[in-house]
Amino acid sequence: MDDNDQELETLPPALVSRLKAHDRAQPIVDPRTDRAVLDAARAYFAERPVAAAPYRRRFAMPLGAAAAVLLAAVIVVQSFGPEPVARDDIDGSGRVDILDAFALARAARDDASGVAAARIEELGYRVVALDAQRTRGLP
Amino acid sequence: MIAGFRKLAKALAALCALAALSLAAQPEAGQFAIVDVFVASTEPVAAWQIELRERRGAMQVVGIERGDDPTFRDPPFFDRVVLERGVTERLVLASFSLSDAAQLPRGRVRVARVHVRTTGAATADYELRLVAVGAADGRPIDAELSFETQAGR
Repeated sequence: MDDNDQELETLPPALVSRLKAHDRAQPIVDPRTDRAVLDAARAYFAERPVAAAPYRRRFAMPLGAAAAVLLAAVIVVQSFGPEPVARDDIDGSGRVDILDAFALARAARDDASGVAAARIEELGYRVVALDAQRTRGLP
Repeated sequence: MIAGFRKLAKALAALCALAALSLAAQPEAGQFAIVDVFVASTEPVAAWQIELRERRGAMQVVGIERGDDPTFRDPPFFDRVVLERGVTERLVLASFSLSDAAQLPRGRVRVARVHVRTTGAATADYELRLVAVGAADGRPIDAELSFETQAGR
């Protein structure tokens, strides 16, 4: 006789019988039931259009990688882009000075390129700027 | 009577000494000067750029004028921040003219006048550097650079 049986003896018989009946009422899942449920589930999901999901997955990774590379390239180009010196070196001398602003002014005078006067003035003030990274010299 | 004159003379001497000490104690009051910049070239000058330095870094630019030649009508380009600074060690000036080569200056011509205020007791030590000089067709040409200083007001 174990401890559980000893405890049951101290309880009222009616309660003991109900507790024992409750223990017996626990469902017992047969392995054949498990197999039947599993087969039914497989049959049900086999009818779904499962081809779409792998298709998306197959191209999602390469597309994401390509987009990341493209975004990185855009950021790099915008950050390091064409050198300001090269952009303002109008006469191709390899440096930016008043002769570049003069070249722009001559082009505007000849109406060959439609250069705006503001662009000429901006370059003129930039070549005399004490701080190369600043164009505060503009009036 | 003589004693009164002696007291008066002593008082005047003390006042003079105080005035001299006061002047000596204000070296930072500074002196104004004019620096005239000249460019000399055998070819007509259509564009120029120079850099003016004061080696001690005790130069305050208070004004800039254009030169003598009427074809350079406007004052030269310069960084206006230099006028806001109390003291600067360098100044860059540049200008160009779209006039015909026949009208452009040749020989020695004053291209700019810089009004400066120098601080400190030592004499200002200016240095000029020629950055670029161009002909009417935009071609770089050789030129000589010089400057003259005179006391300002």
